[in-house]
Amino acid sequence: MGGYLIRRLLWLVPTILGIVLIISLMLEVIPGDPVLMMLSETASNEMRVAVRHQLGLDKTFSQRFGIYVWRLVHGNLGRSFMRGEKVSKLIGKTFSATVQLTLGSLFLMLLIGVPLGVLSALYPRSKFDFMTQGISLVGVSMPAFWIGLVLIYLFAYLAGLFPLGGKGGAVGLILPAFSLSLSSIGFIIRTIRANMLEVMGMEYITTARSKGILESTVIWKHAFRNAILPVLTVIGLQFGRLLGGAVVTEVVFSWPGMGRLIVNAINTRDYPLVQGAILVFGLAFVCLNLLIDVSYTLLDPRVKYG
Amino acid sequence: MKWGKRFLDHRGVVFGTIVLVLLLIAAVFAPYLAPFDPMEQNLLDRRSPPGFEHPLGMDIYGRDMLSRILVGSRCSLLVGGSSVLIGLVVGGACGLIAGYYGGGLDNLIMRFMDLLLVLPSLILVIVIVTALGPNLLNAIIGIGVWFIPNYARLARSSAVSLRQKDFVEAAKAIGCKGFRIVARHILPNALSNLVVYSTLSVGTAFLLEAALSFLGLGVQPPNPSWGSMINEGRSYLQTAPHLVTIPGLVIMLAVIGFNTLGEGLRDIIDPRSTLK
Repeated sequence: MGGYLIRRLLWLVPTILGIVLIISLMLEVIPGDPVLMMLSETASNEMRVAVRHQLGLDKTFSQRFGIYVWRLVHGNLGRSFMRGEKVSKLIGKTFSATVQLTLGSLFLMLLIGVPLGVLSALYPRSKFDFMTQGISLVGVSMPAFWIGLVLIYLFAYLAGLFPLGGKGGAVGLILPAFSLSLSSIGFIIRTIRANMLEVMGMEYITTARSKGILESTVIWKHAFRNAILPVLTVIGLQFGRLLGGAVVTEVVFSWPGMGRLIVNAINTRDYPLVQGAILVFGLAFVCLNLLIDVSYTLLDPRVKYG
Repeated sequence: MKWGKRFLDHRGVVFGTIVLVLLLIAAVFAPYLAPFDPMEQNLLDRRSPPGFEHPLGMDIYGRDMLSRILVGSRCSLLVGGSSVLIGLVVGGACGLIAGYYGGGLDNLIMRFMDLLLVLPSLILVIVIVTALGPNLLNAIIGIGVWFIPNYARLARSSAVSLRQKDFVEAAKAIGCKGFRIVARHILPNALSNLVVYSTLSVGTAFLLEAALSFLGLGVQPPNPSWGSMINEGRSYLQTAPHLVTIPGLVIMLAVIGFNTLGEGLRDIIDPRSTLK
């Protein structure tokens, strides 16, 4: 186990380098010059050269990449071109809002999706099952930003139950998190239902029943515990989708998260901010998946780490 | 015919096919079907709700919503179809080659694909599109690039399991070269999985395109796209909700169609995946 963990942690290093390299290459080839965006059109040529030098843009690509990695090792993400503030500070201010939204949605996904999935597997082909399947199909087929707007109209305008936008405590989190989580709810209902049905058909369930064990014990102790494992993988997959989807949902609900930060940064060619923000996104995603793989090996003794 | 009956018996497949055909008709014949010019502004009737003359109402510049929805289907289908094609061809080829040859080449290709998957889907697409410049072509490229690693993984897993089959051994024994084996023996057997996944991913592409257009990164105005219609109507949510609800319902219906079609095809091709 220890060896496995160390190997996986060591893999993080080339992964991070890879992310930084890809983002840097992408920024290298895109049209648009941050110096021209910062200065007015009447700025003199000397001034442009000076600013270019000050931002370090006159160095070659490999030099800049080396400097970036060197600073990164020391925990320095550099300063934003446009705002002059430290990138880490700008990200720190917004990242927690995005994480709150994402975790809130994950929580709702488990809270709503898991029971619905289990119940519809226990009563397959019933009216309840049919309805749940419908909900999950509609859930995965809806644009999250659109259902966000519809929910705002219904519950904020018409019913006046929720704030229209912004970050208003726990109540303010409900609408954005719910609209973001709907597609994940649909997804997890299907996964749980399929797993539960598969497990319920296994021979050890028949054995357990034939021994006269209470049906509820069979369902919860024998079937559910085995059917729930793949949910870990789903959480990992959905976390990435939710992080990405959060960008659009943030715009709909005026949620002060990383979404708008990234879009603005790319538009103004604020290279350090783009690099830092995307690096943080990638890192969060990679770390969560690492955590899930590790917990898999802990929870399911059949999974070999290798 | 046994296959024909199985297709017709499956409600999801029938529904999905109907949606697909309607979309194709709308996209191909949009100029003839549209009751009004989708660009013509009628400033007196701005944001008027659905009514007799304009069944889906008027948008913020007084343009006929039905006509814009019809013409907007072109953009969705174009983005959906082309981006899936990019993913299928590039990702599928990389995955089959990686899976068949294995070893160092496999490692090289798949580690690169892993890097593309490090970022959440929408973030990657937004970064690519904003970097290349927001327009229809770059939306296709952005979404297509995100599909590549997903298709590569799927194709690779098919190729790895097919590699050990007897008919591949037989092909090797009669002296087939690697490329021929991949193209003539592995690909046809991996194709059904890829086709099912393609159908499902058209729906995903529709949703991604809508999100991009909603952020103003997709089709540029005044050209209509379902996502940008929602974006335009957003500010009038309170007074004219039809500006937002109608294009959203259309997107949802189209995506449901592709999802049921894809899942139905999977049920028919691989009945084991259907759970009783």
